[in-house]
Amino acid sequence: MSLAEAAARDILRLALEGLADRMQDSLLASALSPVAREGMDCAAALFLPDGRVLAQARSLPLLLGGMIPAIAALARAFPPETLAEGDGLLLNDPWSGGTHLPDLILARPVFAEGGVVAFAATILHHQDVGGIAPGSVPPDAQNIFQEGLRLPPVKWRHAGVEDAGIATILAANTRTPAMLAGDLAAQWAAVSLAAREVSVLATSMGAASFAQGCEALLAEARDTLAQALAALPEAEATAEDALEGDGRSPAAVPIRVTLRRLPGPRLAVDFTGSAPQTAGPVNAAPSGLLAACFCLLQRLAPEAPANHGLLDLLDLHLPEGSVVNPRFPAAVNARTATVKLACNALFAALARLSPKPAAAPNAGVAVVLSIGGTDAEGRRWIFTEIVAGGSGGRPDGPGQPGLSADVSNARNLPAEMLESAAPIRVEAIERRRGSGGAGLHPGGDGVRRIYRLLSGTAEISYRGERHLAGAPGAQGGGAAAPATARILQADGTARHLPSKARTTWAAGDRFILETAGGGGWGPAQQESAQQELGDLAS
Amino acid sequence: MTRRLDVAIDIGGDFSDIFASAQGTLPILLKRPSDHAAPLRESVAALLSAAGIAAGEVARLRLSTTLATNALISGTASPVALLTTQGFRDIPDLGRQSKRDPMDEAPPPPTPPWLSPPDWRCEIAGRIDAHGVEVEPLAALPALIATLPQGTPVAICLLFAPLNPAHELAVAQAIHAMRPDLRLSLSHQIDPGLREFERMLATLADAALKPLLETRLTGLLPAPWVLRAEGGLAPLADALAQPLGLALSGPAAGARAVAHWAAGEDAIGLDMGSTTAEVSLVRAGVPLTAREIGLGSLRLRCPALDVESLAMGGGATLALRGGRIRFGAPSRPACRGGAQATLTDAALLAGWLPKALSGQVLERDAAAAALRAALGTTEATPALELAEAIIAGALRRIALRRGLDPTTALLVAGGGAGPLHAAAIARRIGARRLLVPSAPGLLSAFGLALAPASAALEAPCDLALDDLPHQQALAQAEALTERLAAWGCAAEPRHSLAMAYGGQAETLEVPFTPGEPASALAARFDAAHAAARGHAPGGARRILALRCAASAPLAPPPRHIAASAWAERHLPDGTVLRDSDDSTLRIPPGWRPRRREDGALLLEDAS
Repeated sequence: MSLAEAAARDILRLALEGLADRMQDSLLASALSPVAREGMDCAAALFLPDGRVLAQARSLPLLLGGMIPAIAALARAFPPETLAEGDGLLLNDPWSGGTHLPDLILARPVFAEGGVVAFAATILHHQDVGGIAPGSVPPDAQNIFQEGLRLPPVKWRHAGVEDAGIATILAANTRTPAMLAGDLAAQWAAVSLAAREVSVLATSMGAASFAQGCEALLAEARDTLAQALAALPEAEATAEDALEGDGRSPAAVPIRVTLRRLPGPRLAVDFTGSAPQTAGPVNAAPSGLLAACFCLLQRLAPEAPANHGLLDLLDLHLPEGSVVNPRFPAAVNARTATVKLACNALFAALARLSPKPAAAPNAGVAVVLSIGGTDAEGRRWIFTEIVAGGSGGRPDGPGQPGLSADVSNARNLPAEMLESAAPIRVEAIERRRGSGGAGLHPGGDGVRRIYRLLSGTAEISYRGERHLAGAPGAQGGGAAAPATARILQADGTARHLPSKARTTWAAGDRFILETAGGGGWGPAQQESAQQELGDLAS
Repeated sequence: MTRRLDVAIDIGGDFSDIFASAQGTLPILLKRPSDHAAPLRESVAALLSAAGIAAGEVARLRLSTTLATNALISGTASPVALLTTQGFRDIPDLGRQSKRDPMDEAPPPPTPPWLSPPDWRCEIAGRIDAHGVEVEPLAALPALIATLPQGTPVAICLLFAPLNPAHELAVAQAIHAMRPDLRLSLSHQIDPGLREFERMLATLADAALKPLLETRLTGLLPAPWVLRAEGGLAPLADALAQPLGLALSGPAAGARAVAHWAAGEDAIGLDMGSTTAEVSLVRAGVPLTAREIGLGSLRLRCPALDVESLAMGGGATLALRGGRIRFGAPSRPACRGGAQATLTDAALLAGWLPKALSGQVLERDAAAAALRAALGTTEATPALELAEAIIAGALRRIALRRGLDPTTALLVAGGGAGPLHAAAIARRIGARRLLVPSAPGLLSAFGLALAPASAALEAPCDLALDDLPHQQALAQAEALTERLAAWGCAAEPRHSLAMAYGGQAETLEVPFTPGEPASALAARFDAAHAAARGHAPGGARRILALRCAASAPLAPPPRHIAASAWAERHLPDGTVLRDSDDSTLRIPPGWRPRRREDGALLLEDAS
């Protein structure tokens, strides 16, 4: 390839990635639900007409990767030749490629020279899609029907016009109909913007050379990854992690993964040995595991364009009926922890396989907290936030406190935004000093958030992890402190919550959340280890 | 009789520019390399003497400077003590928990460690709630304050202070009584917006700049008017009270000039120098404003003209990674004695640059050797095209995010490297008209000479449309009129509201006239939302902040600069190159140049 061809390819890549980023900007600017606008729990990407991913916004890997099977399912359900300009395709069904029910995926076909040349797509965590708990993430759900409204692939807009029937069904199945409609409008505006622009781009290049250019970008991703894989020894490595219960029973739910570097080179990721699907909602639909694998492949080949070319070299095996590929009608809403731990196991296995030194594991969990209630005047309020733990110590420096890691990139909810939305006093948002593992390069601290309910009553849906043991260290570094959550009643009695809980919260009581730290890297010097222990005890 | 000159000096990273004018005479223009080692007083004196201006001839001195920007990016500003609400002293370390690039596992910390040392943070009990009501009285000052070294800058950032500043003011008063030597920055004055991390970071940055700017900027005679990021001038003493406003002072001057040359139209400004390319936006001749500025990896909330800085100037270095061209930190071009291949070297090899520039010979052989070492070839086109595509991509994103259509806007190109790349970039973004001002290399100094005195006030709120704050708006106008009167200026206050649909976080700014009906405002907001975001869902419209800005010209606009002389060259592909003193204009085939009445050159895409 000549330098000129390489530059032309880079230029197309820039245009496509720039477009995906603009969709993300547009989504964040218009979104209404706090978890989307403050937490950035939304994502945007472009796909080829057959559903292969073409370019992603720099946002949230968990959702970016999670859209991949969904768009493929939409493309299968609505073949390009049946689509019209202005059609909008919608889905959230985990058995059609969706993630969990609050994430609505919306795609719009892009036309050039009379045919479909791409899909513009967004995914957004909506505040509520029904089910047995406000926020639609009930930690004690036993099946999908308790989690809310399920949408298999449907055509939500016909040539620009919203399907009145679907709109009515959506509005009737959420606790927050105006917010859902507004957020869906934000998604539609974002995909419409991108559809216009991609169409201009493809038309100016000519549809055929646009398609060719896209294929070249996919080939570039594949080739770049192949080089990275070639540097790994032809061997296999296994790692295991475990969820602390499924939300209904405290029994450990192991997640086991084996990485095999195959000739070719290819990479096999095999989750055989992971637990059977659970009664509680920690099951992860395949889209989540694909997101974790995509993240691993990107880490292996950071220079490669983030597109479907990476997946060409992946053999993914998700045993059917397991916690990583559950059969219908399993409950799946609390999948985030499963995907995060799968990520952890993937990176641990890679650390064993790869000759390069790796960072210590991060906290391995992002707490998902949904709280809804009624204030003194009888008004309903609700919010969802995502709280990160510490990142692991690295070969070249310490971990960071409270940082979204690997597949997650959620922002936190500022106290000033939270208190504006709910009758809550945020008494502290602070580092849990010493909760990161000790080491030459200590792990990052977890976060402590203390909330006091001021009036009325509320219901807490808490989805945590790592309550029993914190992240291990690496290269002789120490383990991190585990997470905790408790209700501290006004009379001083503390009620500890397990890692998954749904509980009521009375006015005057405090809810104290402490996320886990990251593992330490390298042996600690004597004094600093004692210092860390002292901090932890205090 | 002595001349009475209005002198504008832009102290940039590489070059300092001067633009001096007196009524009825042609302006004096000059560009000189910046000397950052010398005290500012000496630099200014040297520039004046090089321009043949005696100290006594300076009737007014205007200054824009990269001092604040550089101090924050390089970490040479002062460490700051932080006083915050009990339970919140770790906010600078926790930030917003996310990463700009999700694949970056070791991103820069949310607050640079030098800015807020852990031992210099303290907490105070006492709470204001989300309605601005005191719900817990303020406690006594923490002990740390008494022990801080002489003159330490202190950032005071308490929860919900923008809604009710009583606690911050009380704390400031108590500190002042005990330690009058400490320099205080109060969050509700620096950044009156909600979200504690963003406000805290802005307040820390403001405090960090105080000692340095006081030392560097005082002692100039006459006392200068300095350009703030919002694009207006303030007397030095006022500007030093809130030095964060001096970050991006230079780029704001460039944006002012772009707005002038846009002459009432929508425009995108591209001011490309040797280290960066600054992109600014103009709607109907008025520069757009932003609420956030980017300085390296820092994003600071601060009212500013909407200028984004891209790390892509003529000095961007070239390297090959995995068979692909990648750009790196700027360096002196090899053709001008530097060690690495840069974009400027590529442009020279493509035949775009003359044999000599500003009296300095450009060494073609050195450029070729450097390019061969970096890319394995002397073929320059791919690197040039890629650089132009990167700028074009950023330009499109920036313009579209603010609802400006790049295909209809005028592209205004300035800076030493702007005219060289602008036509190609225009074609990439679909712009059909390109404007090259006279003396494009002195864009910032010219903008500074045009800038009015200005000041602004902002008050956060959360109101329904039916509760339009007419009285509060009038009070703001009165306060501003008074402030500008104290500067000797007659002000024209303009009002605007930051609005959003209920639940949205990002507001849009909508002009507002006190007394007008809510329905008019609703329609205006819906239209603005549709233009910027592609849809207007309707529903509850909220007012989240009330703003008022007043500005007054300090002098009549300077006379236009005569079009500079140029020599013309032709490339085999039909490209025309015009070399003038401060830049080279590249006119690819298909562009038709036409001289505008004001001296600027308008190029139209005739293809």
